[in-house]
Amino acid sequence: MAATIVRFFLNGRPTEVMVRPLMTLQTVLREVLGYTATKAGCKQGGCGSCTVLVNGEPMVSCLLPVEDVADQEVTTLEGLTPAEGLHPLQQAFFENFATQCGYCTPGMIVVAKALLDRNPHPDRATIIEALSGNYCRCTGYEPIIRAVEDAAHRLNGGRP
Amino acid sequence: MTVQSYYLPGSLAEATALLAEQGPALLVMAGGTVVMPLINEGISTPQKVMGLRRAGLNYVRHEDGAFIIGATTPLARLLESDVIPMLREAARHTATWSIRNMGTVGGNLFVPPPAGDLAVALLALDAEVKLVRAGGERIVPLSAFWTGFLQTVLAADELVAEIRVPEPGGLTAFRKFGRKQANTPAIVTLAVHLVMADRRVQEARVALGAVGPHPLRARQAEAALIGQPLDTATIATVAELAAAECEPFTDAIASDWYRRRMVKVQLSRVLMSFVAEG
Amino acid sequence: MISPAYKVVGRSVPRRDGLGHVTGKTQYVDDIHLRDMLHLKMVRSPIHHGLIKAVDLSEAEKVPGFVRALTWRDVPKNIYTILCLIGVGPDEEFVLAQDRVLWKGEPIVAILAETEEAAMEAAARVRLDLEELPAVFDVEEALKPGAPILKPWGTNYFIYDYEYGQSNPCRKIRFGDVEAAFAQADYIVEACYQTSPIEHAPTETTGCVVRPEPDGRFTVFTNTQALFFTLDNSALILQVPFQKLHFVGGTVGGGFGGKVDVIVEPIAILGAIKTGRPVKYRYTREEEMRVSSTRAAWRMYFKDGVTKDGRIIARRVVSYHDAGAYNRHSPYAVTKHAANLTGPYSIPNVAIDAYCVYTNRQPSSAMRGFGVTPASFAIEAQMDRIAEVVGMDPWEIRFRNAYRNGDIRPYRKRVEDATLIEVMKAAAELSGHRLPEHLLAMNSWERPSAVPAPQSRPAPRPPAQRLRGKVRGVGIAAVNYPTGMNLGGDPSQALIHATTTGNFVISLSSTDLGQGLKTVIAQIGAEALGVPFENVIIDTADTDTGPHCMGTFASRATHRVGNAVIQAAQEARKVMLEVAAEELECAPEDLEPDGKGFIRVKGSPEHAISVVDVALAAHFKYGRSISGRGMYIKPKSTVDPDTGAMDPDSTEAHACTVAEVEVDTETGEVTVLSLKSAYEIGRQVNPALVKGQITGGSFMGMAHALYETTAPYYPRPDHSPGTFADYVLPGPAELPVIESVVLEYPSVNGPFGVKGIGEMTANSPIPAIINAIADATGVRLTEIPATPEKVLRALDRARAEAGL
Repeated sequence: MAATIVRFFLNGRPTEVMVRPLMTLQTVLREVLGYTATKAGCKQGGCGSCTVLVNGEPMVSCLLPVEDVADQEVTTLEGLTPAEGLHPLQQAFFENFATQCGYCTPGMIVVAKALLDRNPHPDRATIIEALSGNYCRCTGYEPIIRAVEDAAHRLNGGRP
Repeated sequence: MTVQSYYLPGSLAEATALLAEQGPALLVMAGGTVVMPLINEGISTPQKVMGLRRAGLNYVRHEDGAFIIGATTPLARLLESDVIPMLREAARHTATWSIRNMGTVGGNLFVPPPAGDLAVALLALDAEVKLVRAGGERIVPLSAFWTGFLQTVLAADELVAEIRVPEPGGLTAFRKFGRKQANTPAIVTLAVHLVMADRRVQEARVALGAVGPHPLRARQAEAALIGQPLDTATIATVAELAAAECEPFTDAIASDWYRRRMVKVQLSRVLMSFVAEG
Repeated sequence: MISPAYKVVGRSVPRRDGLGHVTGKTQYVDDIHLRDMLHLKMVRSPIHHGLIKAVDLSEAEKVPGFVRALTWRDVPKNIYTILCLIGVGPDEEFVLAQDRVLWKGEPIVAILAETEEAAMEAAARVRLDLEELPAVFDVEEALKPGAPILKPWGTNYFIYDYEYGQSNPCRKIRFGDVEAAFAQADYIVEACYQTSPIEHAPTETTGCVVRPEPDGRFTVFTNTQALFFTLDNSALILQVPFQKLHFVGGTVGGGFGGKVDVIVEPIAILGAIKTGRPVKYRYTREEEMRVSSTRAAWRMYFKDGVTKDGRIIARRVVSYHDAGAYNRHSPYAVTKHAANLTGPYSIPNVAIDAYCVYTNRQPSSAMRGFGVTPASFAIEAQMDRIAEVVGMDPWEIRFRNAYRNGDIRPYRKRVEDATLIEVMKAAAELSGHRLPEHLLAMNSWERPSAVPAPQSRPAPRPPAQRLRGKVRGVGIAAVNYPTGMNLGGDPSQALIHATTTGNFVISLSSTDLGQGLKTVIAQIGAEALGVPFENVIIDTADTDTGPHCMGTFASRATHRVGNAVIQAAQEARKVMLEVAAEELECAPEDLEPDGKGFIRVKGSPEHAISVVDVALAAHFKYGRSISGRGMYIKPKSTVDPDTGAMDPDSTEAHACTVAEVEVDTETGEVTVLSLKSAYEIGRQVNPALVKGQITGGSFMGMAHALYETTAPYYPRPDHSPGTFADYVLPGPAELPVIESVVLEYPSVNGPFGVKGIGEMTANSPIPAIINAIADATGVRLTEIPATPEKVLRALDRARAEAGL
């Protein structure tokens, strides 16, 4: 069984891994590199808990062969977390009680980041559409939507 | 068997050469949104897989009154391109943001019903597919592409390289009806293209998804539209015919009874929306 | 209502685990990857019912990476009877199937391999030689003569009361004389209600990782909701001394009752014992949907006797619980269900026969609202049906029949914490509905001597208006929810000790499922100790360091663990004040903590000492331990086999929901526009977390009412979903307006009056939605989920009857 070396950029850092054929980015992140913020809720692409950004675009890492992201920019929740303090999205999720069991939270924040990067002023319907691929069983989604709205305000300088 | 080889060819030529060399044992995958879940679950156990994400088939061109779309163009790209509104609408209602970034236009032709919403729109728009093999290519109208459930005219050594979609000359409407407003398999998908002349239907394409082994043209319904005005009586007749001629199945989402009924209700509503718009 | 000046309890302090969640640093079981770890995949029965003739492992063993297979012969005690710890049997399920299988998915062989892919491949190559037997999927079919018999004792039902030397086919409740009351009733109202099996669908699937330790013990990292319950059962199955196992849990990625089955740990530990290597056994999403236990389907036949003035004087229910192939927790659920079939109403004559029936389907087990959720649906749908028959307004009929303090419930328990009328008033107000004066004058502690004649119910709109186009309706439901369980004491314990610098560690083995237990317990502990919230550290969940806790389920955690923590805090606080008194040279009774880190002399607050200094003095000067122990136990009560008399719970919380819906009469689609609810839960420890339960629970209730099921064509097992695509659940685009108000009538026995809320919040929305559909269309549905097809077929029938 041939193993290959795949090089890509993980949260801005050049990263090199030895992988088996068709190993997914999810498996590489979680088991090879130890970046476990990206979760594994279904491995069917249906829950969004494994969402990462590839060149800023959300993708479900459970369906993505790592070789397909060679030379690309991959961003995970670990990459959004600053050395000190929290990203405004994280702060908003924290303060709005938008997380209960926490398992869907990384995927939610990553998608929300992609949304706010491309649309700094999303209305509620746009937020809902963006989050529709991320499954949550605990919160009923409402506090998560509020958290994204809150984060948008913070990022737009509307609130401290 | 655990996967032994994963090929990621850098061009169409490389891809068809690999296909010719490896034969039917090579599992071909575009966006991976259907194939990877099956592999992850151990339901599909290929030894060799070829991914087409880097084979240079991600493009959208507009030439001579048609859109030429590369087979592995992600669905999300249709949302950003200046393409036919019905294609954009169909892409918008497919799956989720992540899946739209990964799933492809070509791949959508191979997904099992009830998935395959874009394919329904392509069918109503008289799309053609270019099938390429090492040393040859042919064009097949999409209406002749499917032969059964997960069966197509694609030969073992061929790949879908691009899809050609002529710009529609008339009114178009797309509707995906499901249990939810987003991220849901279809109960029925409808794509309609009508060319009117003197307030009567001159040409009609009514494509139905999720109510048969593959996207279907409702031929009897289309025939009943020709030469008719779009009024309540015509719409009622046409909707009944489409419901009768479709071949719905039962799954976890909906029964065949409900799907058939929704063909009638949803097609009526779609055709009525043309009337409302005048 | 009381609003005392608590310092910490009642505040919406941020979640303790919030930072970990938003940075992705919170650890879950599947995040654990150990060197040399093996992966376990299970070979499962592909048929519903059959005999196992042979199992051939030869092809599986050839797969590269295969390490070992485990069959039933490898399991030291291959009996899987998880309630054996509390004396509930009998033994009828196995860890691995021996000579027969009773459901599609039943585990037969465990494969251990180097990688997940190798394990899956080897599992696929195990050859099973099976002889298929006829299967039964319908509860009433299963009880008919001629049905295939599934149990070794010869019946398809659980036999109750064998511990009393009896053999009852069902749980019985007999209260008063229903037949005499039926004879006296002015109306008889009958209906059959059917609920569907439902999957918990947590975002994180069930799983564990077992690590052999250098000292010969095994550490089990698991997302079970009940650590000791799982440890003890595992030890019995593996026939190892209990101290050999060390269970570590903590953050469960969603429980909802689905992670209390002890289903992955025993076999994974066995794998570690046999190979000497770490083992991971984690359910795939497909297993989580098709294999892991579900909420049971229930079929309930109601017959009520009602007087002209709307009083329900008799209720007879025959109820069938679809346990699936095996018991798990079902016999307990049926008892709890039977006790709750009169809901929050006072009915003087009651006869309940509740059967626990076996069928060849995925075993059912605990889920949020266990036994009560289906009952509440039926009770409240029935209330509206009764209201229509009697010609009475739906609010009026509930107020008239609501129980009051002092009433005796059919299982002979006196009502103590009634607040149904209060939540109904609050929900009516919240939804803008003005109740008549005579109802507003009612309360839950006394019954009015005379009730004026009710207003007549407004005539419904004519069918032509209700069966065409899009129509709207409003429905209500009012429910009670019992806290805790009873069987074997339902205990929890806590230990508290102070560090040298005046921080307090509360040691527990309780799990946080996301509802915020760690935060709430810290608040209760801080309040009871009299110290700031920030100075309380929660150390959970570890069976080596935390004392026993029954688990997090049955809405019990805040109530039981909270009570244990208060008791422990009181002991620790006593020592703290004694040491402070020594330092300040006064009596302990003269002192009180200020909640801000100081202990002050009453009336002379400038005479004070910091908690830090007290702790230092205790450690280095006096040699005192500022610590405490707390225990909660509910005395075990038995169930009278003839009358059903029992004491199953500790307190009752109440809720009332007003639902507004829109029905598309051409498609059968129901859109929930709003869910407005009032909850009475004793005491809110953390209002933000309570709101989290309300919003999440309301959404789950809507999902149960309209969308989700693991058996879309129940009782047929066809088309069982295996992915999130075909397990139909609403998404954020389906969110209705959710509004709520919380009332607090402290319970007599809860910590600071807490009653608990975790399960109740899904219960009142379900029947409220069904009743709203009836209000909109005139069609009374009796099955959930009320899918568009079910609604449409009912509308078609109504239209045909109305000649439309």
